[in-house]
This record gives sequence, C-alpha cells and structure tokens, in this order.
Amino acid sequence: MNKYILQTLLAILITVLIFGCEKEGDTRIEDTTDAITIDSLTASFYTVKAWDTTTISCHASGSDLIYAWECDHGNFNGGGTQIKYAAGECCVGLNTITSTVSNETGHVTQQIQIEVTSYFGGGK
Amino acid sequence: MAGRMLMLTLILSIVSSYGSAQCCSAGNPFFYGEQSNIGHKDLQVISGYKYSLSKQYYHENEKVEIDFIDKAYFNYLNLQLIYGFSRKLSFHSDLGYFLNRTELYSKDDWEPVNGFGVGDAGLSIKYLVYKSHVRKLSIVPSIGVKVPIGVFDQEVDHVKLPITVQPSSGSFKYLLNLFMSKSFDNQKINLSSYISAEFPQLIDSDNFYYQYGNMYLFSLIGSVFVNKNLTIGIELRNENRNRASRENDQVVESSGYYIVYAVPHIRYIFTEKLYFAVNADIPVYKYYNGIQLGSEYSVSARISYRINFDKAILNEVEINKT
Repeated sequence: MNKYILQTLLAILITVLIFGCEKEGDTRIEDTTDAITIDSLTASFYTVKAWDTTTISCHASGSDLIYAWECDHGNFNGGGTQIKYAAGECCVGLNTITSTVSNETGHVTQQIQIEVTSYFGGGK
Repeated sequence: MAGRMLMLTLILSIVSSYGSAQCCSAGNPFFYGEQSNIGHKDLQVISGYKYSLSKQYYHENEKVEIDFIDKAYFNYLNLQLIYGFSRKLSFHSDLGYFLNRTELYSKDDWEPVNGFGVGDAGLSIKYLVYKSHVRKLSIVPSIGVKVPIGVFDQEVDHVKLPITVQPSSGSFKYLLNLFMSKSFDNQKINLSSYISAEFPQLIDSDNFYYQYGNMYLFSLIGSVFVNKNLTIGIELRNENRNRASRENDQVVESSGYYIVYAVPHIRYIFTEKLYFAVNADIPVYKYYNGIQLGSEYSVSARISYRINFDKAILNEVEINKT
C-alpha cells in the first residue's frame, strides 16, 4: 500500500518538475516582417531620477498590430502603444527598453535606452 | 533513548531548509522545513504556506519615504519530500508555487502588477557526520541546488513583469549548509545552530542580465518542550546578502542587506508521524545598502506527515497473515 503512496508522490513531483519547465506567456513570434514598420519609438524623458516616471510611445504601421514591451531593469505599467516606465535605485544606469510590434506576418523590434540616475543626485 | 531521539528529531526539524530571497527578489522565499537526517526508509511530506509583506523603503537602517511601491506581498505554497536512504544519508526535494507576487503602487496612474506560477525546485543531500549521545551533539552538513524550473520572463498583456514579481529565480543557486544541535541533561531544552551559504548564478535570460549577491545565513535556535505535544521556540537569524551585479560587471549599489530576524515557532505534535507548525519572521534589525524596499514580516504554516516504509511493509505482512 505504502509503496504506491511513495510512487504516487514521486510521480507528482516528476510531473510538476517536467511541466514546470514550460515557460508561460512566451508567445514571441520569431519571424521578422516587412509588413510592419515602426515609425517612432520615443520617451517623454530619456534621463529620469530613480522612481520617476517616463512615458514611452511606439507608433507603427501595419494591420492588427500587437505591442509588446520588455526592459532589462525596472518596471512597466500600462500597455499598447504607450507605456509608463520607472526604475528604482536598484536600477541606476543605462537601461534598455525593447518594443516589439507583431501581427500574423511576423514582428519588428526597436530599442531605446533610458538613463536612470541616483535618487541622491541627478534628475530629469 | 527513544524519547531523546524523538526530541532531537523534532528540534532538528524546526530549522530552515534553504536560505533564499527576501521580499523583493525573484525565486522561492525562505521556507521552513527539515534539516535533520530522517530515519532509514522514512519518507516525510511537508506541505506549507507562506505570506510575506513589504511596504516600507529603507535607506541603510532608516525609513525613507519613496513614492513608488505602496505594498508588495506574496502568497506561496511549498511542498517538500524527504527520504532517508540510510540512518545518516537523506535526500530532500522542495518545490514552490506562487499564488501571487503582487506590487501595488502609490502612484495614482500605476495599476498593480501580479506574477504567479511555479518557482524553483530545490534538491539537497544531507549527511549526519557526527553524533554523540554522551555530548548530546549532532552535526549535519548538506549540499544542494535550486533549479530554476519555474516561470521566468513572465508577461501580462505582452508586457514583461519586473524581476521582483517573477516566480522563479531565473538561475541556478548552489547551497552549502551546516546544522548543529546540542541537547542537555534537561531534555526539555535544546539549542541548535544553522549556517548556510547561497551562491546565485548569473541570470541571463531573454530579458534580464543580473546576478544576485551571495547570501550567508547564521541562525541560533532555542526550543522548549512544553509538554509531549507542544514545542515552542525562538530563533535569531542573521541574513547577509552581498551586492548584486548587472551587465559590464556594474555593481548594483542599492542591493544587498544585513537583517536580523526574530522567529518565534510553535509546533503541535498530533502523533509521532503528524505535526503542525507555525512561525513568523519578524525583522528586528535591518540594514539595506542604498535604498530598498524592506521586509515587514512574514508568517508561515506547515503540516508534516512521516511514513516509515520498513514499518509499513511489516504492517502489510501482518495484515496479509491475518
């Protein structure tokens, strides 16, 4: 009886380990496309003090566009063509914001950099 | 002798399984588990829950008002399986799941962000290197690894979540631990110590390039058996984490900390196999490099059930005979 309990527990553990390896939400389209053009990727401020907000806007041409956002350090809020970005004292430095615009034909990517300066000095 | 062994085992089992991230870093939180070497062919299953809250920024050891994160908290489930290969050698596996890792912002136009999912898997091997009934002393070192099997680079509505709410660490972490326990002639009292070092590896994902600093933990635990069912204890735990680094070997000045926690424990033993325990991690001294969001407190509860397969097999034989 108890050996079945052990086998069941080990099976559960192995199952969770295997399925846990699948990353959720990783829906990136790998193909680039000429059907989308990023016309502009701009920020309201390119240098911000820690925890201050800058708004980043991406305008692109194409049909049925989906806008995705990544940054190597800091926090986003919002989504779509315009997103708010701020980073704390932990993220002081030159941070890269990546905007990826996609539709059924593929995707295009563009990056800008935002400099986050220390709360103790520097500013917008 | 059996009573002494039971007491030693229970006290040993109070201490933490791993040192880990505090409130605001990716990966599994510190969670209580077993540190003792359990018996030969024993299987112990521990299921637990933890809640943690952070809401105050600190500059070094003083509060500072920052208009950004109003509150950060998580609800976390944990499952541990421990198996005794022999009287001295045991294997420990550990898996976590975040029901949520949430940040609420004080800025009016910022919406809450929420990560969730499987965290890291922990695997470790413990070996009882020294045990003296005369000196009432035992020493159990262990080595382990945390494997980032869980959710990382998680996004919501095509927006990548910050690293602070990602459920998994995003990199391997190697662990070295040492546990020592000292009993006394008064069998109601036990002292133990737990020393741990954690070595996080570089996070080099699609989105993040970051390496948390090494973490060193030192813990002293005193426990008292109130009666045969109830144990209470208090732990003083010191966690030191070095500064992190990012691309181009840039040191992250506002990272790393020195924290002393007071951790009261209560454990109720239902049977020899089954117990329930709760504890709270209360920071009594905090020093953060630069400015960081500090941990307010956390509470956790766990239930443990132990099966001995030698005895189980014997019981089955007895049942089959009848």
